[in-house]
Amino acid sequence: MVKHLSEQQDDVVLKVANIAKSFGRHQVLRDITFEMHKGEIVGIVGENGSGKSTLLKIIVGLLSPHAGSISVREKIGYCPQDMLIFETLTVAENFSYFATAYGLIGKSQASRLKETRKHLLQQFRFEPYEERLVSTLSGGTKQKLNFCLAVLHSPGLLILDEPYSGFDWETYLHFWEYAEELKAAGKCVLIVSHFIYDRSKFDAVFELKEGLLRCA
Amino acid sequence: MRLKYIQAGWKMSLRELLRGRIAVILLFLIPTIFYAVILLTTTHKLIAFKLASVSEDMLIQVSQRREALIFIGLAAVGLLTSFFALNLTQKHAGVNRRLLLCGYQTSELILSKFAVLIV
Repeated sequence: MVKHLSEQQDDVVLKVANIAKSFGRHQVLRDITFEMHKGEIVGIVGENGSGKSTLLKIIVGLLSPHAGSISVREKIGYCPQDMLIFETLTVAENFSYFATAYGLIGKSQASRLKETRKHLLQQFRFEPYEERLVSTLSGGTKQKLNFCLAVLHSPGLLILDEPYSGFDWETYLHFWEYAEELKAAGKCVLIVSHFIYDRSKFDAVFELKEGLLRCA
Repeated sequence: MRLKYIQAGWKMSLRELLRGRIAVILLFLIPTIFYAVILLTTTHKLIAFKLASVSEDMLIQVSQRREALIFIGLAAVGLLTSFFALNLTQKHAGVNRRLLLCGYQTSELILSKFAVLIV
């Protein structure tokens, strides 16, 4: 269902067209259509159970829609709502495992990966925990790792499901600094949350209600 | 299938398993309990049995305890292997799914975990 965009649509990074999804008789998403362009930060808000996470799972390919199509141009980085990290591995080992998954292996990639990892650890202030087992970390630090694993391969489209739910205020500000860096580099960020603190940071905000997406 | 992916997966899965306290405890506890039960319930009395693969008339005599120890040893290995396999695949099912989304192939992940069980 996930297609690649043609060269004519240079600016478009993500195109979601007429997506519909039901669970049994309950229709969660109806005719969802929107586009994301280079360098945009887009937010989707909605109450609990409104179908936000379902929509994200469809975009990243974890669920298939009953109707509609998704077209993506860039590499996707996905930060799930649940902390999907290895608790019995250290922070460094988690980075290394996911780096392998992204194909960041070999001598040519090693120095770039080291640099990215260092930058992320410093930016989100959890460098001292690099060699600590994840199970010994606080919820907030685990959430930072959960987020960093999604951006390790420098994706062009970053999809975040409730990314700052465990962040303290300082980390929240660092998160936005990082998001602005991505935006300046022409990358896209799609954030899903049940509330949005600062509307001005977004290029567009949509509200998902009763399965329909409308401008908030 | 990419060997480096399997290698990395094997290394991390092995660490994951060895750091799990229950797994390490069971690794020592299960064989100990199983062997203790056999030692307490069997004697060195010789028992005779026929092997299906050999001539029907041939009877083999083995110590009851030795025969039971072989059986219980295999049972312990089977139980532990099943437990570890379940532990490796189900405990982190969500994270494994995320790894697949990030670029791992299902076959590479399964092989890396299977390699851990062989070790």
